[in-house]
Amino acid sequence: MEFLAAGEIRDAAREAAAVADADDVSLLHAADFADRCERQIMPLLQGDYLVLADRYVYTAFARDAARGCPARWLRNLYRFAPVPDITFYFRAPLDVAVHRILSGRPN
Amino acid sequence: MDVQTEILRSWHGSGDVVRRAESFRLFQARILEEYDKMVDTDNFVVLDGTLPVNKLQKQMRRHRGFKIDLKRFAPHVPEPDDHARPGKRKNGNCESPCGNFHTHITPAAPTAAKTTAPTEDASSQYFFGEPLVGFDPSEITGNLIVIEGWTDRDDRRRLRCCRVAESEGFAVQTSGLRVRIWWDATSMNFWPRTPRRG
Repeated sequence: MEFLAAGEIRDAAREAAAVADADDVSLLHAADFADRCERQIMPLLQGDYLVLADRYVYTAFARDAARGCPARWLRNLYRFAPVPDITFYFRAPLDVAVHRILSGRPN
Repeated sequence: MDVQTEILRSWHGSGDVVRRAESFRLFQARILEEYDKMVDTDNFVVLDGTLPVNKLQKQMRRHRGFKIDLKRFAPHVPEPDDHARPGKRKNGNCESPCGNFHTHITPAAPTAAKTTAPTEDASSQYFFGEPLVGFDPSEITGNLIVIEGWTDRDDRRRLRCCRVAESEGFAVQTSGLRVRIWWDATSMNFWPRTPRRG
Protein backbone atom coordinates (compact mmCIF):
# COMPACT_ATOMS: atom_id res chain seq x y z
CA MET A 1 0.00 0.00 0.00
CA GLU A 2 1.03 3.59 -0.40
CA PHE A 3 1.02 6.08 2.39
CA LEU A 4 -0.14 9.12 0.49
CA ALA A 5 -3.76 10.15 0.43
CA ALA A 6 -6.26 8.84 -2.05
CA GLY A 7 -9.85 9.25 -3.15
CA GLU A 8 -12.09 11.78 -1.47
CA ILE A 9 -9.47 12.75 1.08
CA ARG A 10 -7.02 13.43 -1.71
CA ASP A 11 -9.54 15.62 -3.50
CA ALA A 12 -10.43 17.42 -0.29
CA ALA A 13 -6.76 17.99 0.47
CA ARG A 14 -6.22 19.45 -2.97
CA GLU A 15 -9.19 21.77 -2.67
CA ALA A 16 -8.30 22.86 0.84
CA ALA A 17 -4.63 23.21 0.12
CA ALA A 18 -4.92 26.70 -1.26
CA VAL A 19 -6.36 28.09 1.95
CA ALA A 20 -5.34 25.66 4.68
CA ASP A 21 -2.26 25.90 6.83
CA ALA A 22 0.19 23.13 7.56
CA ASP A 23 -1.61 21.86 10.65
CA ASP A 24 -4.93 21.59 8.82
CA VAL A 25 -3.46 19.59 5.97
CA SER A 26 -1.59 17.38 8.44
CA LEU A 27 -4.85 16.62 10.19
CA LEU A 28 -6.48 15.80 6.88
CA HIS A 29 -3.72 13.41 5.91
CA ALA A 30 -3.75 11.85 9.38
CA ALA A 31 -7.50 11.27 9.13
CA ASP A 32 -7.01 9.59 5.79
CA PHE A 33 -4.23 7.42 7.16
CA ALA A 34 -6.30 6.50 10.20
CA ASP A 35 -9.05 5.31 7.88
CA ARG A 36 -6.68 3.18 5.83
CA CYS A 37 -4.93 1.95 8.95
CA GLU A 38 -8.23 0.72 10.33
CA ARG A 39 -9.54 -0.72 7.08
CA GLN A 40 -6.41 -2.04 5.40
CA ILE A 41 -3.36 -2.33 7.60
CA MET A 42 -4.69 -3.54 10.92
CA PRO A 43 -6.96 -6.29 9.61
CA LEU A 44 -4.06 -7.67 7.59
CA LEU A 45 -1.66 -7.55 10.51
CA GLN A 46 -4.25 -9.28 12.64
CA GLY A 47 -4.69 -11.86 9.91
CA ASP A 48 -1.02 -12.80 9.94
CA TYR A 49 -0.25 -11.09 6.65
CA LEU A 50 2.90 -9.41 5.48
CA VAL A 51 2.16 -5.74 4.79
CA LEU A 52 4.46 -3.71 2.57
CA ALA A 53 4.04 0.04 2.95
CA ASP A 54 5.34 2.32 0.24
CA ARG A 55 6.13 5.15 2.61
CA TYR A 56 4.59 5.44 5.99
CA VAL A 57 4.06 7.88 8.82
CA TYR A 58 7.72 8.86 8.62
CA THR A 59 6.85 10.68 5.43
CA ALA A 60 4.40 12.79 7.39
CA PHE A 61 6.90 13.27 10.18
CA ALA A 62 9.53 14.60 7.78
CA ARG A 63 7.28 16.51 5.39
CA ASP A 64 5.08 18.18 7.98
CA ALA A 65 7.99 18.98 10.28
CA ALA A 66 9.67 20.68 7.33
CA ARG A 67 6.49 22.69 6.91
CA GLY A 68 6.72 23.86 10.49
CA CYS A 69 4.61 21.40 12.46
CA PRO A 70 6.12 20.47 15.84
CA ALA A 71 7.66 17.01 15.79
CA ARG A 72 6.11 16.03 19.10
CA TRP A 73 2.66 17.08 17.88
CA LEU A 74 3.11 14.95 14.78
CA ARG A 75 4.16 11.90 16.80
CA ASN A 76 1.09 12.31 18.93
CA LEU A 77 -1.12 12.77 15.88
CA TYR A 78 -0.05 9.42 14.44
CA ARG A 79 0.14 7.61 17.77
CA PHE A 80 -2.34 4.99 16.53
CA ALA A 81 0.03 3.79 13.79
CA PRO A 82 1.61 0.38 14.27
CA VAL A 83 5.39 0.41 14.54
CA PRO A 84 7.03 -1.27 11.53
CA ASP A 85 9.12 -4.37 11.95
CA ILE A 86 11.73 -2.87 9.66
CA THR A 87 12.08 0.39 7.76
CA PHE A 88 14.29 0.71 4.70
CA TYR A 89 15.30 4.27 3.95
CA PHE A 90 16.57 4.97 0.46
CA ARG A 91 18.76 7.95 1.00
CA ALA A 92 19.76 10.05 -1.96
CA PRO A 93 21.77 13.28 -2.14
CA LEU A 94 19.71 16.43 -2.31
CA ASP A 95 20.51 17.08 -5.96
CA VAL A 96 19.44 13.59 -6.93
CA ALA A 97 16.30 13.77 -4.83
CA VAL A 98 15.23 17.12 -6.27
CA HIS A 99 15.97 15.97 -9.79
CA ARG A 100 13.89 12.86 -9.32
CA ILE A 101 10.96 14.81 -7.98
CA LEU A 102 11.05 17.55 -10.57
CA SER A 103 11.61 15.21 -13.47
CA GLY A 104 8.30 13.60 -12.67
CA ARG A 105 6.35 16.86 -12.60
CA PRO A 106 5.16 18.84 -15.57
CA ASN A 107 5.89 22.32 -14.21
CA MET B 1 15.00 37.76 7.40
CA ASP B 2 17.77 35.49 6.19
CA VAL B 3 18.38 34.74 2.56
CA GLN B 4 16.81 31.32 2.67
CA THR B 5 13.61 32.59 4.26
CA GLU B 6 13.45 35.42 1.75
CA ILE B 7 13.75 32.96 -1.09
CA LEU B 8 11.10 30.72 0.41
CA ARG B 9 8.70 33.61 0.85
CA SER B 10 9.18 34.64 -2.74
CA TRP B 11 7.51 31.47 -3.93
CA HIS B 12 4.22 33.08 -4.73
CA GLY B 13 5.08 36.75 -4.77
CA SER B 14 7.38 37.05 -7.71
CA GLY B 15 6.34 34.04 -9.68
CA ASP B 16 9.98 33.76 -10.63
CA VAL B 17 10.57 30.22 -11.79
CA VAL B 18 14.17 30.20 -10.61
CA ARG B 19 13.30 31.37 -7.14
CA ARG B 20 10.40 28.95 -6.94
CA ALA B 21 12.77 26.17 -7.86
CA GLU B 22 15.17 27.33 -5.18
CA SER B 23 12.34 27.43 -2.67
CA PHE B 24 11.40 23.89 -3.57
CA ARG B 25 15.00 22.80 -3.21
CA LEU B 26 15.24 24.35 0.25
CA PHE B 27 12.06 22.59 1.26
CA GLN B 28 13.42 19.26 0.10
CA ALA B 29 16.62 19.95 2.02
CA ARG B 30 14.56 20.42 5.14
CA ILE B 31 12.77 17.15 4.53
CA LEU B 32 16.11 15.42 4.07
CA GLU B 33 17.26 16.82 7.41
CA GLU B 34 14.13 15.54 9.10
CA TYR B 35 14.64 12.08 7.63
CA ASP B 36 18.23 12.05 8.80
CA LYS B 37 17.10 12.85 12.32
CA MET B 38 14.96 9.73 12.32
CA VAL B 39 17.66 7.34 11.11
CA ASP B 40 18.81 6.55 14.63
CA THR B 41 15.70 7.26 16.64
CA ASP B 42 13.51 5.06 14.46
CA ASN B 43 16.11 2.48 13.50
CA PHE B 44 16.07 3.10 9.77
CA VAL B 45 18.04 0.74 7.59
CA VAL B 46 19.78 3.22 5.32
CA LEU B 47 20.43 2.15 1.75
CA ASP B 48 22.05 4.09 -1.05
CA GLY B 49 19.09 5.38 -3.03
CA THR B 50 21.23 6.05 -6.07
CA LEU B 51 21.90 2.38 -6.67
CA PRO B 52 19.96 0.44 -9.28
CA VAL B 53 16.84 -1.27 -8.06
CA ASN B 54 18.24 -4.76 -8.48
CA LYS B 55 21.21 -3.93 -6.26
CA LEU B 56 18.92 -2.39 -3.67
CA GLN B 57 16.83 -5.52 -3.66
CA LYS B 58 19.94 -7.60 -3.08
CA GLN B 59 21.00 -5.39 -0.20
CA MET B 60 17.56 -5.61 1.34
CA ARG B 61 17.57 -9.38 1.15
CA ARG B 62 21.01 -9.65 2.67
CA HIS B 63 20.52 -7.14 5.45
CA ARG B 64 20.96 -8.82 8.77
CA GLY B 65 18.05 -6.88 10.15
CA PHE B 66 15.74 -8.44 7.61
CA LYS B 67 14.82 -11.28 9.88
CA ILE B 68 11.23 -11.64 8.89
CA ASP B 69 10.60 -15.22 8.00
CA LEU B 70 9.01 -14.80 4.60
CA LYS B 71 8.33 -18.50 4.31
CA ARG B 72 5.88 -18.13 7.13
CA PHE B 73 3.63 -16.16 4.81
CA ALA B 74 4.07 -18.36 1.80
CA PRO B 75 1.10 -20.07 0.24
CA HIS B 76 1.23 -23.78 0.80
CA VAL B 77 1.53 -25.56 -2.49
CA PRO B 78 1.28 -29.28 -1.86
CA GLU B 79 3.64 -31.65 -3.53
CA PRO B 80 2.13 -33.71 -6.34
CA ASP B 81 2.19 -36.72 -4.07
CA ASP B 82 -0.23 -34.99 -1.76
CA HIS B 83 -3.09 -35.30 -4.22
CA ALA B 84 -1.94 -37.84 -6.72
CA ARG B 85 -3.81 -40.54 -4.90
CA PRO B 86 -7.39 -39.98 -3.86
CA GLY B 87 -7.95 -39.86 -0.16
CA LYS B 88 -4.41 -38.97 0.72
CA ARG B 89 -4.40 -35.52 2.21
CA LYS B 90 -1.10 -34.84 3.81
CA ASN B 91 -1.73 -31.23 4.54
CA GLY B 92 -5.18 -31.80 5.86
CA ASN B 93 -6.52 -28.69 4.13
CA CYS B 94 -8.25 -30.28 1.20
CA GLU B 95 -11.86 -30.88 2.06
CA SER B 96 -12.92 -32.11 -1.35
CA PRO B 97 -12.04 -35.55 -2.63
CA CYS B 98 -9.16 -35.20 -5.03
CA GLY B 99 -9.61 -37.72 -7.76
CA ASN B 100 -7.22 -35.81 -9.98
CA PHE B 101 -4.16 -33.80 -9.22
CA HIS B 102 -4.74 -30.13 -8.71
CA THR B 103 -3.04 -27.50 -6.67
CA HIS B 104 -4.52 -26.11 -3.51
CA ILE B 105 -3.18 -22.86 -2.24
CA THR B 106 -3.90 -22.45 1.39
CA PRO B 107 -2.60 -19.88 3.80
CA ALA B 108 0.22 -20.89 6.02
CA ALA B 109 -0.72 -21.77 9.53
CA PRO B 110 -0.37 -18.75 11.76
CA THR B 111 2.70 -18.98 13.85
CA ALA B 112 3.94 -16.93 16.68
CA ALA B 113 5.76 -14.09 14.98
CA LYS B 114 5.07 -11.80 17.82
CA THR B 115 4.21 -14.10 20.62
CA THR B 116 5.06 -11.75 23.39
CA ALA B 117 2.40 -12.00 25.98
CA PRO B 118 0.23 -8.90 26.06
CA THR B 119 1.12 -6.66 28.90
CA GLU B 120 -0.19 -3.41 30.18
CA ASP B 121 2.20 -1.46 28.02
CA ALA B 122 1.93 -3.79 25.03
CA SER B 123 0.50 -1.00 22.94
CA SER B 124 3.73 0.95 23.22
CA GLN B 125 5.53 -2.02 21.73
CA TYR B 126 3.38 -2.17 18.62
CA PHE B 127 2.17 1.40 18.23
CA PHE B 128 3.69 4.83 18.32
CA GLY B 129 1.25 5.60 21.10
CA GLU B 130 -1.98 3.76 21.57
CA PRO B 131 -3.95 1.65 19.09
CA LEU B 132 -7.15 2.65 17.41
CA VAL B 133 -10.23 1.82 19.41
CA GLY B 134 -11.17 -1.82 19.05
CA PHE B 135 -7.75 -3.18 18.15
CA ASP B 136 -5.94 -5.47 20.54
CA PRO B 137 -2.15 -5.30 20.20
CA SER B 138 -1.86 -8.95 21.15
CA GLU B 139 -3.76 -9.87 17.98
CA ILE B 140 -1.04 -8.52 15.72
CA THR B 141 0.70 -11.52 14.25
CA GLY B 142 1.64 -10.15 10.83
CA ASN B 143 4.64 -8.07 9.89
CA LEU B 144 4.95 -4.55 8.56
CA ILE B 145 7.77 -3.57 6.21
CA VAL B 146 8.19 0.09 5.30
CA ILE B 147 10.06 1.73 2.46
CA GLU B 148 10.93 5.42 2.80
CA GLY B 149 12.89 7.79 0.66
CA TRP B 150 12.85 9.37 -2.76
CA THR B 151 11.49 7.83 -5.86
CA ASP B 152 13.10 7.77 -9.22
CA ARG B 153 11.72 9.22 -12.38
CA ASP B 154 8.85 6.82 -12.80
CA ASP B 155 7.87 6.98 -9.14
CA ARG B 156 8.08 3.25 -8.82
CA ARG B 157 11.49 2.74 -7.32
CA ARG B 158 10.34 2.01 -3.82
CA LEU B 159 7.53 -0.15 -4.99
CA ARG B 160 9.79 -2.22 -7.19
CA CYS B 161 12.02 -2.79 -4.21
CA CYS B 162 8.99 -3.81 -2.21
CA ARG B 163 8.67 -6.55 -4.76
CA VAL B 164 11.44 -8.39 -2.98
CA ALA B 165 8.67 -10.36 -1.39
CA GLU B 166 6.84 -10.71 -4.66
CA SER B 167 9.92 -12.15 -6.29
CA GLU B 168 9.86 -14.80 -3.60
CA GLY B 169 6.41 -15.84 -4.73
CA PHE B 170 4.19 -13.75 -2.49
CA ALA B 171 1.26 -11.73 -3.70
CA VAL B 172 1.78 -7.98 -3.38
CA GLN B 173 -1.08 -5.57 -3.76
CA THR B 174 -0.89 -1.81 -3.75
CA SER B 175 -3.57 0.74 -3.16
CA GLY B 176 -3.93 4.45 -3.04
CA LEU B 177 -3.09 7.30 -5.34
CA ARG B 178 -0.59 10.01 -4.97
CA VAL B 179 -1.57 13.56 -4.12
CA ARG B 180 0.77 16.18 -5.41
CA ILE B 181 0.97 19.39 -3.47
CA TRP B 182 3.72 21.90 -3.82
CA TRP B 183 4.43 23.65 -0.60
CA ASP B 184 5.83 27.07 0.24
CA ALA B 185 7.60 26.31 3.48
CA THR B 186 7.20 29.70 5.11
CA SER B 187 4.12 31.35 3.66
CA MET B 188 1.98 28.34 4.63
CA ASN B 189 0.52 28.05 1.19
CA PHE B 190 0.13 25.06 -1.04
CA TRP B 191 0.16 24.70 -4.77
CA PRO B 192 -1.95 21.72 -5.68
CA ARG B 193 -1.05 20.06 -8.91
CA THR B 194 -2.96 17.64 -11.02
CA PRO B 195 -1.57 14.15 -10.52
CA ARG B 196 0.07 12.61 -13.51
CA ARG B 197 -1.97 10.08 -15.34
CA GLY B 198 -0.67 6.62 -15.80
